[in-house]
Amino acid sequence: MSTSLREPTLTGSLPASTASADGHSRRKPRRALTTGAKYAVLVTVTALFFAPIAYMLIGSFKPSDEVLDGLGGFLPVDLSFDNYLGVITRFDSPATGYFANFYLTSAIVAVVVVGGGLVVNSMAAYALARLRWRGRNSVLMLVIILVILPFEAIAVPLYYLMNDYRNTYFVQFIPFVASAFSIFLFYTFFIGLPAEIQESARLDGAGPWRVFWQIVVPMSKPVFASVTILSFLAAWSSFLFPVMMIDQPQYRPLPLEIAVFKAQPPTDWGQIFAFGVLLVIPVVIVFLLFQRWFIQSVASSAMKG
Amino acid sequence: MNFWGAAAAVTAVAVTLSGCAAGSSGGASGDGTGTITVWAQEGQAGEVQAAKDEVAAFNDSQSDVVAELTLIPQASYGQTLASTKADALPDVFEFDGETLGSLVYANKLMPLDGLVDEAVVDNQLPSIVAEGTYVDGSLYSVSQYDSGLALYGNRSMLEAAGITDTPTTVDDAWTVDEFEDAVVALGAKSPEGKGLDIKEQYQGTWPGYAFTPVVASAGQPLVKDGSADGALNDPAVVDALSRFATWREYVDPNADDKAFTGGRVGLSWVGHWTYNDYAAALGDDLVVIPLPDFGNGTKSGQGSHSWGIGSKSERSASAAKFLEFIMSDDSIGDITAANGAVPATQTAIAASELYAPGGPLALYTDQLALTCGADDPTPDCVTVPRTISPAWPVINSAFSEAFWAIYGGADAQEELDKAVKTIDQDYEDNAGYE
Amino acid sequence: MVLSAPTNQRRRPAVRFGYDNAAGVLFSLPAVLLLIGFVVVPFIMAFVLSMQIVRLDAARPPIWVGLEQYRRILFDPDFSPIFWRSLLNNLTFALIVVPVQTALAVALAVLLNQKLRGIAFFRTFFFLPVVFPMALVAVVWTLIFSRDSLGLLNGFLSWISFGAIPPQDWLGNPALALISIAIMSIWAGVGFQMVIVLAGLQEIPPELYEAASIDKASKWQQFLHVTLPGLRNTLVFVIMITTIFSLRLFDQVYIMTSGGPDDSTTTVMYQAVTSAFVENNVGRGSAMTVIFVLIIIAITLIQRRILRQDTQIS
Repeated sequence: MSTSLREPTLTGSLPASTASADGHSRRKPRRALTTGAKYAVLVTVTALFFAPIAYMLIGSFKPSDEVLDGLGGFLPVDLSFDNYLGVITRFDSPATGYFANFYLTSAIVAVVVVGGGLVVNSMAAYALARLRWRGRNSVLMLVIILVILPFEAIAVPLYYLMNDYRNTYFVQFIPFVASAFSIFLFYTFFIGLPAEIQESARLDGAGPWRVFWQIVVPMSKPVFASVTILSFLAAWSSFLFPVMMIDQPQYRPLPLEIAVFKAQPPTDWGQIFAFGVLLVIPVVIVFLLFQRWFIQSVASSAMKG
Repeated sequence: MNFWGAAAAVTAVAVTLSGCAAGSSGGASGDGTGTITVWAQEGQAGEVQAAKDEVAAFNDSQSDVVAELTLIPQASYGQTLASTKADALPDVFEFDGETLGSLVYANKLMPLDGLVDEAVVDNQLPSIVAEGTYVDGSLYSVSQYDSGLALYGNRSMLEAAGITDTPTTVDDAWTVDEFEDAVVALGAKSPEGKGLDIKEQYQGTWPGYAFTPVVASAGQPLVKDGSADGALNDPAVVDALSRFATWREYVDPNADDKAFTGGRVGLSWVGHWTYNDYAAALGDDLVVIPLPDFGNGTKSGQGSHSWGIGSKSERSASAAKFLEFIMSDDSIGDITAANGAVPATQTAIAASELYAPGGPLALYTDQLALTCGADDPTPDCVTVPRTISPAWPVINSAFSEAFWAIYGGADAQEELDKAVKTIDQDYEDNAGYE
Repeated sequence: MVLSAPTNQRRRPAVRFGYDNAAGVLFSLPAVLLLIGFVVVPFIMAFVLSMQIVRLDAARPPIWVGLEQYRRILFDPDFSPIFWRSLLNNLTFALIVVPVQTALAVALAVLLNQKLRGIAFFRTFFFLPVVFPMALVAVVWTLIFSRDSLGLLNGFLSWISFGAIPPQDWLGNPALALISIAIMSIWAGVGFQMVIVLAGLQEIPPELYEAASIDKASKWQQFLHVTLPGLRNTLVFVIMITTIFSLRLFDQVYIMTSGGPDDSTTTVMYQAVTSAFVENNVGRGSAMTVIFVLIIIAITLIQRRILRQDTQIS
């Protein structure tokens, strides 16, 4: 968990590109040239990488018939907020659902999955890492086995079993609250915490409940941040299960609605892109604010315990 | 608020709630009032608007019943109905007519006999009544519009190819030989050697609708008494489909959907729905021709969206009022003006410029009047409904796969035997859907 | 390391407290109950359902058929071709995505692992697609892949080739559809791997590079002989999760191609879901699920074996 992405230790450079770069520095022209070349490569690759997102962003402000226009789709002309207004007014009745419904569904699912998940998974992980009780090894084995099981492996039987709860918020979050993967992340972190402070607290008469909430949790902000971010991303993207379980507009999460929207002729690409921007904007804002945490949590998902 | 004020408020809420509860239990079929839930497909924007307008018009037309519409994505509409338990279905819902067998089998539809005004049912086209009637003899659905298959011809191109005896009524349909001569003659006149369009680009289960009439015209249903053996793989069917496959060299692949409108072919084997495009492109040159006769008379397709009442509806009387309303000439006139389909009632047809006797599309009306229903096809009947059975999805995909394989050059007997095996396996797996 | 049970008795408490039986059970109970209810039970049900013919809107009771569903999926000439086709598609997808995405992730990580001003700014862009829900990515790329010259990708290729590359029907051509989905998936997923590789890079001791430069090793030789061996475990992990990801392929296919054209993009998961959900054949869908799980387990075991060899060597 000692990964710090801020301080690169490797100073190796790319094979110098032949791309022209103007060296401004008079002192070390050759060094400046390679630096310039590096930036040229970086900028080109980044531009290619960002293009699909830029396309969506620009398209969301353009009239629909100008979005699908070859490279012309990038031209920022005829910009307006019409698509955004169109998206809001398009969903104007209970028959179609309101735009707020889709947002609310995604938000409820994300909040319960993340919030509930933090509590139940961290507690279970603590019991496995630090408490001594009968059955612990069996539960640990269970968790380790379940870590490798992707949701897809149980989607079909779960669809069969939970069909009575179609079209609810409940069905969208309940299978995802407890997560073997989250437990495992917490577990590897708790195992690495120094045991001495906890032990002295126990000696002072604090029960496991107090030790966990007052000592362990405050020491474990990084793993809580990682689990929050990873489970939030998964919950906000949830698609397969809603496809099978949700048909009422009121309970459709954003990713399901954008698929429905796209499949509805005549396809209004400008509005679909506006919907897409609205769908992703909360995640992007949070990502830009807490970028370092995002990247560290992904790195930690490689389970370098 | 003081204590008594709060208590009074709570009591008032409780009274209101219990009042509501009491109001909602009005006997098995309700008293024809209250709020009903309605599901419709969220498809083309025009149809979505039509559905919304219709519900609004119904709510404005009377004060007893309030209809609440929910739109379900068209792409997964069938799955939604299949997955939803009977007691979670709405009072009234739209569905693809071809899924009626599955819905009735799963006890999701209520018989409409005695529920919907008899005059409304009598006004429906015979094809619609046939399509809505399950093997138990009860009627489960009504429809606003129906569909049909025919050949559209380009008069100038046909005449240029020397074909002047173009049939226009079901009685003088081309025989297979005459049809083949026409296709070959058209192909000879065409730079690419093509003469026919069969909407190849529709792919998928298009044959289940478009080419089931070939099987019927060869004298067989797809399935007879719970088995496809001896029906779908009958020698006459094998011959008919093998013959059909030989026309492939004259068929335009139609990837751009402009083979007929662009003048590349003179005949197009398709449904009623292309009329507006075709008429706009060809004007007076457009002729409507019955499908060729493979020996057992010309045959055509039928069936479209249907409406039914959920089996667990507690307001079926109100639901029936809604169905009666949307079967009115005005409602049907509005929706068929939007989608160009065949109006599904006698009176609406009479009021239709396109489909009334003497209208340019009257052939479709004549065909639908002669439905084969659930019986085996006879030489005298014309339109064949898709098999009214819960096995239909399997029949549809098995037949379609076999058709495309045969059309692509595979051995007809082999492919049809394979389809028969798949279909019969499904019946067996489900104990014959008894 | 990866996915192996960590030793939890590394530090024995200096003082013995006796057993926390009650606390241990209570702490883990909510998660354990949820895992049993929503993972273990459904997983067992997959086996049970796979031995039956069962419809969701069951008007009639299920019929017990033993291993018949498996026989049909794997061997019956009428049913099995589509399953083998979907498995082949999954493997083809993996064969494209795993090497390309891993190589790209390593290249990007090396590119970003430099002392350059503003490097974090660039990293942001590469990671950004990771926070995009796959459903949204699939919708946006459907338009990018539009056929004829109006499509963005076609427009771009025509521009950089001065019109030499004609427009392609990316999603409508059976030869291209799966590749197109793979390209999109690589774009969406490479940032995730890049970050993992970057973390791996930074754990390689700098002394190794110093020693290499004293030996006058070129940058390329350093990459081959220091960087790649140092990334071994990271790469094994990355390759394994990408392989499993390739087997899970569903969202993109559902949104972009519905498995077509000509079944060229159908996948095992897409077949399992459509069997259960579209064809209402829950038994067959469950049987495919079970086969899917067996494949996942096999891959995991292979990966663990590779890692174990590694620890024996070092």
